[in-house]
Amino acid sequence: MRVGRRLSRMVVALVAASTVAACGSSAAEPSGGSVPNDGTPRQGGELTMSRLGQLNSLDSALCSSSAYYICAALYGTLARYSFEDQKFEPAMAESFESADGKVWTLKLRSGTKFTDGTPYDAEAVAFNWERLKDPALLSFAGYWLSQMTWKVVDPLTLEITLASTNYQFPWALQYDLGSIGSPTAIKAKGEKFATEPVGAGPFVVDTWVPGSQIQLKRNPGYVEKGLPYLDRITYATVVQDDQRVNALRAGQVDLTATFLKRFGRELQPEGYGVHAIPLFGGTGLGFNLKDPIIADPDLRQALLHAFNAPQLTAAAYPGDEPPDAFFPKNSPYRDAAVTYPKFDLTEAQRLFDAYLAKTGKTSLDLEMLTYSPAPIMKQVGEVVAAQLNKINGLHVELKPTENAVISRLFREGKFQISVHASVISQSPVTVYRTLYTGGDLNVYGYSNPRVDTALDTTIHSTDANEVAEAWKVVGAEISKDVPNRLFAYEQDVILAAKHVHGVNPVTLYAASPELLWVDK
Amino acid sequence: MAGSGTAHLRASDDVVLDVRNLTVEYVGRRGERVFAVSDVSFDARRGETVGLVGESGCGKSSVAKAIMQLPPPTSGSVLVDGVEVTALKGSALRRRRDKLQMIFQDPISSLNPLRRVKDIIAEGLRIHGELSKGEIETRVRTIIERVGLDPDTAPDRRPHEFSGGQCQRISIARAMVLDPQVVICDEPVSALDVSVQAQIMNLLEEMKARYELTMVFIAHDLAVIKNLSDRVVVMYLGKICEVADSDALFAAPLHPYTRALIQSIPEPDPEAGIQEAALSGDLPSPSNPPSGCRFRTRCPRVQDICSREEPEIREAAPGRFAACHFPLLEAATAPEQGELASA
Amino acid sequence: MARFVLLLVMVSVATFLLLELIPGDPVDGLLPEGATEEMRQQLIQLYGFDQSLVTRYVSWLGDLLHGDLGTSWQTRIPVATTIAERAPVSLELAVLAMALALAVAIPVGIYSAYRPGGIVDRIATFIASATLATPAFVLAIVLVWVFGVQLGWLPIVGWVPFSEDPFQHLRAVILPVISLAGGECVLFIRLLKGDMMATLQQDHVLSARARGLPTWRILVRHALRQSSFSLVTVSGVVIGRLIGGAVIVEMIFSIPGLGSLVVIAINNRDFITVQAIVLLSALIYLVLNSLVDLAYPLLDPRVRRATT
Repeated sequence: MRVGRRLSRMVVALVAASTVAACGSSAAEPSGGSVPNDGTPRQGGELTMSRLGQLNSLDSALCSSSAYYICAALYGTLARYSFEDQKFEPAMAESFESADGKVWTLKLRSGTKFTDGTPYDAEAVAFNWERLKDPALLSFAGYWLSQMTWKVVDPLTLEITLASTNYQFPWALQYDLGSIGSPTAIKAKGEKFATEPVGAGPFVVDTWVPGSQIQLKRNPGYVEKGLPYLDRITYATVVQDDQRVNALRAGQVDLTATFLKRFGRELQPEGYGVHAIPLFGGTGLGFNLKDPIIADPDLRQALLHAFNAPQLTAAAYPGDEPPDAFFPKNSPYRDAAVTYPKFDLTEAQRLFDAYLAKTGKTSLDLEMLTYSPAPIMKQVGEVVAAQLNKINGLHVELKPTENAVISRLFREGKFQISVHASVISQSPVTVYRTLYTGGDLNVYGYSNPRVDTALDTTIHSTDANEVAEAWKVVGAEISKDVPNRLFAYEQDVILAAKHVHGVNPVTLYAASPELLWVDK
Repeated sequence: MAGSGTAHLRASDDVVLDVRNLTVEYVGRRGERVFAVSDVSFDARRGETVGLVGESGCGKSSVAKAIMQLPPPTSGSVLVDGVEVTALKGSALRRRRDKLQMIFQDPISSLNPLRRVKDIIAEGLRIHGELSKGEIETRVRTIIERVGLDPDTAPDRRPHEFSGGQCQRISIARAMVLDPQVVICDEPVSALDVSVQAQIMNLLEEMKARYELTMVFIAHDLAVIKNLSDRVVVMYLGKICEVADSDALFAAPLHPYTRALIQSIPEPDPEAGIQEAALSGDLPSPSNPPSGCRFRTRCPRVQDICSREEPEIREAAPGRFAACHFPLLEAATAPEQGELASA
Repeated sequence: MARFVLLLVMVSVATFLLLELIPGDPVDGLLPEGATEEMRQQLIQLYGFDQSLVTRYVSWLGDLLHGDLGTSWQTRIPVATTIAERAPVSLELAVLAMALALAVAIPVGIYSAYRPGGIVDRIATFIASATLATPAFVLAIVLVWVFGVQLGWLPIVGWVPFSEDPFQHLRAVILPVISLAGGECVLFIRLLKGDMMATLQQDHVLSARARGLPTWRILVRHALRQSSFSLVTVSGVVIGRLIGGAVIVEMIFSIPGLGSLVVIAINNRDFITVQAIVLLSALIYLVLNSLVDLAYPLLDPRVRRATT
């Protein structure tokens, strides 16, 4: 989940929202996971799914994070998150258990073979994970790899020791560490492994037109009995969101994904399956709390009161509900008592004047970063800056900045305010990394012991109620401290034709391919 | 002057080209109506050369193009060897075209720069002819030789490899190879060096004699016409002023405009040119010609009637036709006196 | 030839420096979220960003001369391999689009010049003025909506290689080719009509008519070749643009050509790939311009004399 991916999501969402502002639909937000029990799966058939990204490499090390859907199909995943049950289930792995959340035992299924005939065993897993440490692979697994060690106990068993307790570790077994390629093939093929992958997943490559489409066929030797259901699955690249939906409507594809909420609103009444995946976080205004000026809580309160969320939503995200807290209204984790500071220009001015008096200043200049490659992001930044500049004596200057520069400024903590994407992930671990004191994604320099404690609970506890309570605390504290003022919640939406079943909506806008079936 | 009328036309069997009431009008750049040629009539006998003369803009080139049907005139009739060509359309017109050929002013632009000389000359034959390849080749070779080019080297070269005079020779060959009855030469030498002009004129004379051609020779310069033409038609602003046999016309012009043109020919005797006020003022716009006589705005003999009434072409003296209310009859009837006076 | 080589060297330097001008450290854009400083340093070393500009240019150029365009930072696949896969696709689109544009523009341009103000001319002028401000992608979107979504006649997703299924391949090619050809066609008609009208004014055309040549022969054999200078010149530029830059149309139709590759490469900050494509595009322009120069004497023998 590179910054780039988040950026493109924000941009697409904004572009689409602003171009179709006129056709605001009054349909309700699609509810998450509307499919589950949709009949008895049927064997056979094929389907086409259109995808945003163009696929250039099928290497397990590269696609596990950025092209998850294809890795899930070619390599399978060690663990599989079931959206319906809200928990992980075994997939390529037979089990993954831990008594303390720190030491994990990963057991593989016996007899699993890669399609080149070599065994899918503990050594293979260890080899793949070791390989991910190569910086040139640009793997996203670094976060996990740097805090874990592992040893091969027997051919089917690995013992993983984490630096600290983390019951959310299975997320890594689904995504960053989940795709295992044949070590023999990786060693033998070198660079060619990217185009001639060998895995043990539910499908194998049949034909591939790089950059356009890849057709997979069923792997008869797939380890999960009875899976996959489909004989064939084709992933076609369709870069434009409108185009993906056009193709779905024209019957040229059966399944597609988008992060534009409006398509869900449009297509649900037309009878399409709309599977929304709620995500943590969203797009918003980030504050660098380490900046000597922004560090002042009164000043931040002034800025937050000057921010007019409904106005921005109407301009850039028509049809959406303006966010008023870290968790949206329908979230079970929301603490109804705590919301973001409300738009109140008088209060903003009062707080700002007090800040000036306190610091002996007569005026204040601030800088606000926004992503320069996207004109629409600049426009959003302009709206926000104009809102903040309603405060007399304050001048916020918008600095459209290139992505790479923004990442460096974030890393070095050299910014004041930024229009940016925060968390945007299905995994609670990403929230942890973003909001925990010293977290690797915590660009805000945010530190709140109560949040740290609660976040610890979310990964340390196995008690669902306890975890839910902890999330409430996190939501309330973040909505109060506001290191990031969200102005748009984000979600992924999978759109399916009527005859498509078994959609397990997981993040990175993919459905578990082995579970899909069709009745056409 | 500048009048209509057909009094000067000759009723004779050997009239090959008979142009009657030719009118050419078109819409100009600013949407205005331009009267390029208004009711012009003249004829040409077999083997005769008719000189068509006037200032640039007088409509003489428009007359040429209208005769060629490039494009056909707005109205009027053009009889070539008794056939009404304005009535012909499409392929019938195309088949008839070889009887009527034209030689253009600009020798460079009148030849397709991309084609070889032999193809340029042969193309018309290929399209029209029932001639075999060999016959065409022979005829092309012959004509190349006759126009004074080297039949061995010239055929495979392209126009840019030749001088202006040589290009005009190619143009002449291209016209003559079709064995036309009437050739219209539109200022064929005015773009050439003086030294070359005479050669081309001689060549045209030679061709005329050899092929018994009827020629319409267009020029703005009377000197060029003087020696070549049997008969001269003087035009002004789309109309005919005067028609006469060449010698008579040059000896004693009837129309004030003709006289002005003749006076403008450089002469050795300096006194000859300043007898009367030479031609002054600009040519009026053909989109808005003067009422009555079109020449009246520049005419030294202008009277009231000239603006009210358009003069018809009439036989002002035997064999002398002019469109003028006040022709210079004293000169025509007493040429000797005139010559004495000037001497 | 010397001039050509000099230009190539200049282009290579410019291409190299272009990426140096991009703000930020190239590694910053590559690093995955939460990457450690250690990983950053490793990458800097791996891609040689710790070396001087000149050293890097020399080694890049050296590799280039050996046909090595480097290995993609993102996919770890040799850039040359990826380009070799994609260039034929863009080339095919460009050639077909050019062919279509010319096939429409030449007869329409000729006829418009022959009968200015006639029905063909009026329709062409109307379409031209209506589409003048319409970029190719708008046409693409309209075509997709009409023929893909509403009528369902043509596919809007998926690229089928010719070798796999020629018929499906042609179906996949139609809409993108029309989208690309549309704008160029309008341009070609304008150019050809203008030059043609000038040629038709020339005396040799009158002379051809005077000799009774059929109209089509005059227009095609006599006037067209002489009137095609601007068309040939612009065609060279346009086909270069189409090969390297059919970005938006390739994105809309998800065509695996160079245009979409460059977008992905830029998004992924895979500058080594971007560099290679920019260089290739520049090379294509240079070659095409040289070809156009070579074509002039064929069109008009007079040029040969002027240039030699």
